[in-house]
Amino acid sequence: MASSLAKWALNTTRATSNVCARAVSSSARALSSSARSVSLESEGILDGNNLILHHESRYLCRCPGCFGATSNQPLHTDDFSAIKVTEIKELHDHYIELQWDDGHVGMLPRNETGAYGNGYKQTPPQRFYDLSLRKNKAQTFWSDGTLPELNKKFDYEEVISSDENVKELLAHYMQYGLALLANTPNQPGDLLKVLDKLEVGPYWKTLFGLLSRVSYQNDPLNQAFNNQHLAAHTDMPYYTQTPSVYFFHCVANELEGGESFWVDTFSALHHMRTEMPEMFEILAEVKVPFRQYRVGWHMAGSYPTIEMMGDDMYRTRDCNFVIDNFQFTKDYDPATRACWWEAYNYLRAMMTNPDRSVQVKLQSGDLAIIDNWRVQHGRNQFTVPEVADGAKRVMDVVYVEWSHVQNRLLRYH
Amino acid sequence: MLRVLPILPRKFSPSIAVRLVHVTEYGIKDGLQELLHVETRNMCRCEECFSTLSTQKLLTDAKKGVRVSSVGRVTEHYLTVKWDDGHEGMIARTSRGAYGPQPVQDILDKYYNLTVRRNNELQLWRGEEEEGVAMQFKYSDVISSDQSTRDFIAHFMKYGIGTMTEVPAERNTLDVINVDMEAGPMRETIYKNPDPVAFIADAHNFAYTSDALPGHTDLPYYTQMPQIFLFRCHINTVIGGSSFWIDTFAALAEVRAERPDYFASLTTTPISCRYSPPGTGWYLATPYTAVVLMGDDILEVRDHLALMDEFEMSRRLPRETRSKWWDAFLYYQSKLEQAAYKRIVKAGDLVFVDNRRVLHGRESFKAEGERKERLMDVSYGDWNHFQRRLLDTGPEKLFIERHLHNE
Repeated sequence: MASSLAKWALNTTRATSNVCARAVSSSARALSSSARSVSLESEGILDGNNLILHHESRYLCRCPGCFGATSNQPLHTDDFSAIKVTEIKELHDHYIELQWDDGHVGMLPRNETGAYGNGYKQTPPQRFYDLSLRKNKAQTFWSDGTLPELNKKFDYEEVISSDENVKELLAHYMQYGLALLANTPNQPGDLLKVLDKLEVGPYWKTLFGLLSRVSYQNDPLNQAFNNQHLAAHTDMPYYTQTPSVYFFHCVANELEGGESFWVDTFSALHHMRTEMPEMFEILAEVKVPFRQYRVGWHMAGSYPTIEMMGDDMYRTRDCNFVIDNFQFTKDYDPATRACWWEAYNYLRAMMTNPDRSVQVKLQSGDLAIIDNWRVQHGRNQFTVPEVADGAKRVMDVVYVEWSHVQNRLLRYH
Repeated sequence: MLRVLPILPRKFSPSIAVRLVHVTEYGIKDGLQELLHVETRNMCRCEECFSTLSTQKLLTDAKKGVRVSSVGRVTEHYLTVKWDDGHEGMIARTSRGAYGPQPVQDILDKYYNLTVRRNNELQLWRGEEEEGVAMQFKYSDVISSDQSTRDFIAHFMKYGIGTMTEVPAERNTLDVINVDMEAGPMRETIYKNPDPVAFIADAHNFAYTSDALPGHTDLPYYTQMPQIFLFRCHINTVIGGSSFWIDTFAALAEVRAERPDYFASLTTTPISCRYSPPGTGWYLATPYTAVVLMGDDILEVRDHLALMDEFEMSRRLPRETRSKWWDAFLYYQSKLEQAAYKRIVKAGDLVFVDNRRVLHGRESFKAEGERKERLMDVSYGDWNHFQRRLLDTGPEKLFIERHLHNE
C-alpha cells in the first residue's frame, strides 16, 4: 500500500522512468525488500551503516514541499539546526518516509537515485564522477613517458561519431591529465570547430583572447613565441583562477626540432609526499608570487606550488618564467625561502628528467588536451631558417573551464 | 656582456646606495635585506636573462647550485653581480628597479595589496555601518577618466560591492565592462551572457521565481566560482523584492576570533556541490571548502545552502567531521543575521559584487496592477582583468635603467 508521499514520488517525475514506479509499486513490501535495516538513534537515522544527523535529514528532505521538481533545488533554507526526527513511517527502496519534531512529514533519500532528482534521474558512472571531481584515487599518476596509454592517439572522426566516444576521450584525459587526438581539421582557427563538435564550451577568454596563435615572432611579448627551449611549466599561474583545460592544436610543425613534451607534476609530488614529506609541506604552504606585467598587462598573485582539497592534490602552479622573485624576497624571510628553494629544486629535478616526459613531434591536425592544473608542458628548441622558405610552426590554443568539460562528461539527455 | 639600455636621469639617493652590500655564505646582504644565491641568479635583469618586452625570464629553468662570486657596482636601483657560472648581470634593489619607473610604483603602492585580496586592505562591514557600502557612483563619472575608473574598481575591491547608477539603457553590460571600463574580457558560463533574470513559470532555478532568495554566492558548483557578479537592473516596478548583500568576511572574522576550532573546520573540511536541473542536460559538481585561506588571508567563501550536496557529504565524511562542520557552519550563519545591506535596485543600476566574499539575495516580491515588471540581467567578470585595469599603467614600456660600470 503506497503512502501519499510515495504516490508523489511517482507523480512528480517528469521524465519517463521506471525507477520511481518500482519504488512505489514495491512499497507494500518495502520493509521486507529493503535489506538494510533503518533505526532511529540519538544522533539521527541509521540506514545500514550510514548515519544521517537529525538536521542533515531535514535538509535532505525530497518531498514536493521541500524540493523543487523542476529545479532540483531545496525550496527553502531555514535553520534546521535544532530539529529532530521523531518517527520512521515507511521504507521504500529509494526513500525513508520520516516525521520530524516540527511536524513535517517528508522523504529522506537512501541512494543516488533518490537524492538527485526526485528518484528518476540517471546518475553518471561513479568513475566519471570521481574523475571530474579530480579525486586522486581515480587518476593515474605517471612517471614513465613511454607508457602506451599516454602516447595513444584517439582518432578525431571516431571520437565525434558518438557521445560515448567523446566521454571516453574526456575520461581518459581526466585520468592521465593528457590526451592526444589525431586527424582533426588542420587549418588555422579550426580548433574552435573541433571544440564545437566536442561540445565542451563555452570557452575561456583570457587576455590572449579566445584563440591564441603560437608561432615564431621576433621580439616576442611572451616566451612561447620565440624558438628557444621552453622548460616544463603550467600556463598563467598569475591568474587567481588559472585556466584548467588547455587545448593545444597543431596547425603546422615543419621546422626542425620543436618537439612538445609533457610531464605529470602529480606523480613527482606524490613521490615527494611519500619520500620527502617536509619538502612537500613547504610546497603546499609557501605562497609563491607570480607576476606578468608586459605592456597593457599587469596581473599578479601569490599561490602555493600545490593546492590540496582535503587529502587530494588538487592543483599545481609552476612557471619559473613569471615567478616574481623580487616580491618573494619581500614576503618571506630568507630561511623560509631557502627551504622553499630546496624543495622546489628537488621538484624541478624530476620535472626536467626526460624519462618522465611524453615527447611528441606533433603533426598537423594533432590536438593535445592538457590538464593545466596537473601536467606541465614544454617544447624543445626549434630552428628558424635564416631565409624564409615557407616552412612554419603554428599552434593554436584555447582554454576551457574544467566545469564545462565536466558537464560534457557527466551530462545526460 | 651586459648591454646598456637607454639612459635615464639619475636620481641618486645616497642613503640607499650606501647600504652595505656584500657577499655572504648564503648570498648577498643588502642593508637588512638578505638574498639567497639561488634567487639572485633567478632575479638577473640583464638582457640575456630577462626580456623587457615580455617581462619574463629567458632562463631555461630555475638556476640552482649557482653562487654569487662578487658584487660590483651599486646604484640606487641595481647591483651588478658576478656568479660562479661565469655570468655577469644585475639584480634589482627596489620595486622601481624590478618593475619599472613611475607611475608604476605609485600604482603598485596604492593598489597591489588590494588586488591580491590582502585582508588588511579590505573594509569589512555589517549592514550599513560603513558608509562606503552604500556609496553610489554615476556611470558617466566612472568612465569620465582613467583615475575615476580606477577609483571605482578600488572601491569595489575594498568593500566587495560597488554600485554604479544611471547606466544608459542602450548600453549593454558587456560593453560597459569591456569597452567603457576596459576591464574585460568577461567570464562565460553555462548561462547566457548576460543572463536575464525575470519571472519564469516552472523555473529550473529559483532565481527566476518571485520567492525570497536567501543570501548566497553564485554558481558554487563551478570548480572555479565566478569572481565578480554583475547585477544590472533594467526595470523594477514590482512590490517588494529588495536586494540585499552580506559581507561574509566580517562574519568569519568574528568566528575566527571567537571559535577558532569552528573556523578551522570551515577551512579544512571538503564538502561538495551538485547542480543538475531536469531538462537542462547540465551536470556540474565540485568539491570545495566553505572558506579558502591563502596564508592567513581569507581568499574565498562559497555559501549556497540550496546547492550543497549533503547526500554526498553524508556518504563520504565521518559523522564526527560532519557534526563539527555543521556546528561551525550554523555558527557562522548566525553571524550573518542582521548584517545585510539592503536596498531596492532601480533601473540603470549596475551592482558589482565580489562573488567570493559578499552574499547576495532578494526578498520576495509581488507583481500587481501596474507594478508588475522586474527585469534584471546577470553577467560575470574576471578578477584578474579588473586587477589589470587597476595596475596597468598604459603604454609605458618597462625598461631597465642604465647601469654604468665605468663611471
